[in-house]
Amino acid sequence: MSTIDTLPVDRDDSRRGGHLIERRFVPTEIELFMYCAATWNTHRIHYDRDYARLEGYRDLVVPGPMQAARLGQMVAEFAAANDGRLAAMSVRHHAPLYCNDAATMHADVASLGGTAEVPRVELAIAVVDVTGVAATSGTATLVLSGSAKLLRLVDGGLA
Amino acid sequence: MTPHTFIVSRAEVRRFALSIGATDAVHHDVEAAHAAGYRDLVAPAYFFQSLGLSIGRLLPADELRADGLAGDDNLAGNVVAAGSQVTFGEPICAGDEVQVEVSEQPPTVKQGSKGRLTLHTINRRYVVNESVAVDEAYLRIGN
Repeated sequence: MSTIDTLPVDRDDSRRGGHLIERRFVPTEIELFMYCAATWNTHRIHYDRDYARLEGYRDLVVPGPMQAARLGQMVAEFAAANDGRLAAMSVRHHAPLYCNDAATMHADVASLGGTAEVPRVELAIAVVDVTGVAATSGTATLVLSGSAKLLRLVDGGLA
Repeated sequence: MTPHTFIVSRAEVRRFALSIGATDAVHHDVEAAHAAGYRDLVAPAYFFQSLGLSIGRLLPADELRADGLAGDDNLAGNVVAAGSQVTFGEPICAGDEVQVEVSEQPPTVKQGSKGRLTLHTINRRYVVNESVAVDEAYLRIGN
């Protein structure tokens, strides 16, 4: 079993605004409600605007785990579309993301690793708010099922 | 280590999927899930949150604090999620019985720009048929 050395990969894909994957979303009150209901999150900073302001926030706060879940879904769907799977993900929340503020999620190849038979791709991921501040950032590790897909990824050939 | 057991329903899979904008048919349509090789509706990767985050929070309203968190929550003040580290095994599907093992690491205190902060790390392991589906370290921070 041969080993693929971990190496940095530079990408400049103008089709996606420079990112390998990019999605924009605006977290509305309804979406905050849906997520908090699904996870039984009763913390008032997510649904009571007056209370959120009492705690010093300027608006309702988008739950950090919701940002992680959306990032995870984005990269998991990308992996599945390329014969791979999401193997691991790590995020830190740095700053509040607020309700109704446009946000952008993106992912870029940070390094390659694993083996020729089971290549791994590490992605640098982030949720960036409307001012360009990273509310959440981290890494996601994708396992691909074959080297052909990996090579196409390096060559920028993935759809 | 405290074990918790959940039987995952199709409604829960669909509900969580919709809450994060996951509209792929494999999360909503059983036939599509079967056609894709899953035993039933497959849960989105972060579905485990709907199990883990509810642990200790399924309480009557009068047992919640003014901020909406559980009355016995061990973090006080301005409490927020700080991050998470997750490794994934086989995906969770509707109908699965998920055993969640919960443990906590000793809290750590550090001085932030806005004062003293306490960081709590909660480890949750989600097991299906004796196989680890998700291993999660969930970080919360309070002052």
